[in-house]
Amino acid sequence: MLKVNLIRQRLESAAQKRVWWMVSGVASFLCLVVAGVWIFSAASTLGGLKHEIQRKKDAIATKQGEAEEVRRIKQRAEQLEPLVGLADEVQDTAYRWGGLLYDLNEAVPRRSGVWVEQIQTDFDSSTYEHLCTIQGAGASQDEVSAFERTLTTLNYSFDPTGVTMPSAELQADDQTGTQIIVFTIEATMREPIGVNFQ
Amino acid sequence: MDQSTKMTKIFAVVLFVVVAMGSGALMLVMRSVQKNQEAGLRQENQELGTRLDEIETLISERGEWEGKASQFSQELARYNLVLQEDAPVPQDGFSYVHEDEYEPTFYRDLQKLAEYTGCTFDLWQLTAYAPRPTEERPENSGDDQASADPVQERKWSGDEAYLERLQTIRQVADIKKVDLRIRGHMQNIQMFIVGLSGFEVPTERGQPGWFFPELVVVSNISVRALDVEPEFYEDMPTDDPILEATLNCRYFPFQPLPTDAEADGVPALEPAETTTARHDDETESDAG
Repeated sequence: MLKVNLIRQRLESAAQKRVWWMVSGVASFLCLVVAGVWIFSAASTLGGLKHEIQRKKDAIATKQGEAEEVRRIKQRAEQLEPLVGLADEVQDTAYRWGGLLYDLNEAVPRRSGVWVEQIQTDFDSSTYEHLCTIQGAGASQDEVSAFERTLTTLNYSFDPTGVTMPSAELQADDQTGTQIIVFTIEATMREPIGVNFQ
Repeated sequence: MDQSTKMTKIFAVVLFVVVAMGSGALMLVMRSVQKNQEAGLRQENQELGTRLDEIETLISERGEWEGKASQFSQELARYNLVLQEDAPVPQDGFSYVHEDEYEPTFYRDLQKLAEYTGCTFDLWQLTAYAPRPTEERPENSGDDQASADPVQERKWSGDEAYLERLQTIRQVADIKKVDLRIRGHMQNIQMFIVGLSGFEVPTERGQPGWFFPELVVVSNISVRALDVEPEFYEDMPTDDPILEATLNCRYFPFQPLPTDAEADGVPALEPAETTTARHDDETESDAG
């Protein structure tokens, strides 16, 4: 009887030991599994990032040459843009001078029948007015008056309200023996020409 | 519970604790390492991403910049861009002039323009450009004051715009003052003025036009009809007299490339005698 009890106790003890080892083993294994999964996951994250970085480096290396070329082109264009802007402004100013001379040369004398002897332009920086002084002569007062009226119709060049005749004088022409009207007309331009270049 | 079972229980618990703590410690260490590495890698990834985006954006704008560069190059190819004296001449299709040969080139170009436009050209005077006097808008100038005096307001606005434009111009070009005196019919003078500013000038029949290779703009004009002897006219229509035009100009030599140079300190030059000038003087003395 005693022997049987002893054997049973030993069997129970052995069973308890197995249970403890099994529980401890399974728990430890689970810990290791969790740690392993976590480490794998962390490594994967880092690996993914490294892969992404490598991919971008490769892409940059591939496109670097073309980008450098475009950067040079862009830099050149940006360097030249203000030069072109200045050239455009200069040409626009020249176009306006051409228009003024065209008006004076083509339209005015042929339409009115007077002749122009002197033209002088002056920019007044205190009022920002650009004045054109015209000295000329005509055979009669009617012609000079018509000439002045014609100037007021040149909307491109002159301000119609800014045309005045400060002087007109009857003079004898020594060469022909006739009388002529010598006049001075001041005409304010509609806008100063080349205001930034004065 | 016998002694050996107790010991087994203790060993089993110790084993679990050791493994759990080991795993935990390993995870903590790895976490720290990963955190450091990940922060660095994420930053690097972000920087590379930004750089790649910039590169891709730049490449996607290739057409636009090529178009602009090509357009600007075409517009400027006819002008002399100034190089430092010892700088090598780039092979990019532009017309370059070294600083030391710049003014003589300008003078030769003026002679050529006069020849092509049918004018005689007998004076040029190159001097330093002094900006016109400007007035600063007072700080306490309110709207009421401005609206009460539109002329004053126009002056302040104009001066501000002028100074701003002057600053912009000086970033890319020097500014000099040039006075020119030319003679010819009104049509020739018109052509000379527009030719000065970069418009195409016809040369000979059937030949391509010519572009004045400098940038000059007329700021004021003085024109007078010349009295010449009747025989000089011959077939000339009486309403198309010979005129003498004095042109007050601004001349913009582009800043030396690739580096900027001083804008000021330009020496004034005396009028030089030229073939056209001599010819014109002879004409004048003959006439007189």
